[in-house]
Amino acid sequence: MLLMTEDLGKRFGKRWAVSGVNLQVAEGDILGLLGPNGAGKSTIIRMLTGLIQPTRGKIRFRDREYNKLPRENIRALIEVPAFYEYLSAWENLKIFARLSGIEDDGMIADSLHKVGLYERRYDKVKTYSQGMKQRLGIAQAIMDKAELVILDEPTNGLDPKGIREIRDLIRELNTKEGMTFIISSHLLLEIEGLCNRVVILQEGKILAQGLIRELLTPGQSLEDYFIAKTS
Amino acid sequence: MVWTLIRIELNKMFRRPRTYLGLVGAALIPLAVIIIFAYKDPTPFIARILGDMFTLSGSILNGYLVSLVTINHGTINFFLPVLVVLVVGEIVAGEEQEGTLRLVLSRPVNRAYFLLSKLISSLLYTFLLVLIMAIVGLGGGLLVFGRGSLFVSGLLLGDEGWFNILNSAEAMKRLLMVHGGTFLVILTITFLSFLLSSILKNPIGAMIFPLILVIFLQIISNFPFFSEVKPYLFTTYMDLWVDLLAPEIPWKDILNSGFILMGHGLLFLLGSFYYFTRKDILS
Repeated sequence: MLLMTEDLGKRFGKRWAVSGVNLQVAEGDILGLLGPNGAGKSTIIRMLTGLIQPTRGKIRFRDREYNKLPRENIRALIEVPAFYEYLSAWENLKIFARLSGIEDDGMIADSLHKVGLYERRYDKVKTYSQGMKQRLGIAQAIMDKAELVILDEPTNGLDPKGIREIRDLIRELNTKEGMTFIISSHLLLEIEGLCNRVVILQEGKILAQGLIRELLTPGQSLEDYFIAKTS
Repeated sequence: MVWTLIRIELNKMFRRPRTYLGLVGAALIPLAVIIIFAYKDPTPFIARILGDMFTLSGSILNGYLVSLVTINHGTINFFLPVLVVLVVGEIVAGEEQEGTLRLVLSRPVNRAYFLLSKLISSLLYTFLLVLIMAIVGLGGGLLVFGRGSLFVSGLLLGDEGWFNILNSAEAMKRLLMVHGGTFLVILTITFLSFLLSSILKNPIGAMIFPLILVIFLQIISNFPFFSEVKPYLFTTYMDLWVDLLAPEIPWKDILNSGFILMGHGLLFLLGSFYYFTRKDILS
């Protein structure tokens, strides 16, 4: 396994937002994180990216145990993409590249090409539409080809054409570059079409996880399975 | 990594219009004083305030007076703090509110180094505010009104009833020291605003709270009921610059005030680093 969590939990005050989470992500997976609002998806993502400290549990990455994942190997787009609006897309990505120790601007250009923003790279982010910001968010996440990329609602704000392009891009990066993805989404069809593995969360606990083809019975859709599990 | 972070922070800070708003603001007070004094010599006005204590003959207007009038209680207790919190109050909390903080901290960035880069930017900005005020007030004042002796009345500066006449060289030296003292005083506000910016998610709170606190502490300091706590309030020492103009500089008192201000500043800083390196980023 590339990533495993053991009894991962986070308590806010007296309430456990997430508890007993044993997540398994294999190398080359596209894992879908599913769950209703408040299920704990964002809390798990924030713990994996070091934004919040787990109250208990361990995270294992490539068989090494951590309290907090080594962020050298992980990139993320968390919730709404936020950038320095008074800077251009290029300048924003340059900042994030430098923060990761990347001096090669070729990677910035490459990622902007991949999300279709290269022509607008010198425009200030404040002039971008929500969909363009979403693409830029994806560009910053895939820019340095990290081993694990976590995307929170990656197709938010995109039009149908944009959704397809991003979906194809994720597939391409997964198959050609060997990048592993965790994708959190409310869109069951998107998860079913894109992911090979799924985790279903409710009230901070894992209800089901595994390879989609093994979880679903013949003829059953992920939507049917999800509703059966969460109701 | 620290240098990269500092470079990024400075780049971000000097790309924001708000930073220039603050720096221009710092130039506005001395400019206003120069314009007003060019229009009307303040000597008769000052003579009227002093009443029967002194008889002023001739004009006391020169570049040093411009600088002295620029640095006054209103500037140090209110105007400069406003300019400081405008940028410093927003420096961390603004990133949290806008969401860029979660993107930055999800990268392999050491939180303490990140905060250090923000602190260095804040210090530089605070230094520039005082420097601009010194250059425009002292430099501009000397350019327009020339040199001369500086008449300083402790009474006019809210201190005891001393007065001092400084020759040109001494006035220059003392006013440079006053600006140094001003920087020290304003640093305490910078550190307080920095602490709040590291704690709060809303930059408005980190901007407004330090100003309210300074005003509040200064008001309660005037009530005899609070006389016992007064020595522990940093606002009690915000007028240390006045002593730098006295006939005999009370270095012991000034050092004591400086240590107390820096002690508060250090506590604010330790609080910032302690809290920020442990805080959950939930925005």
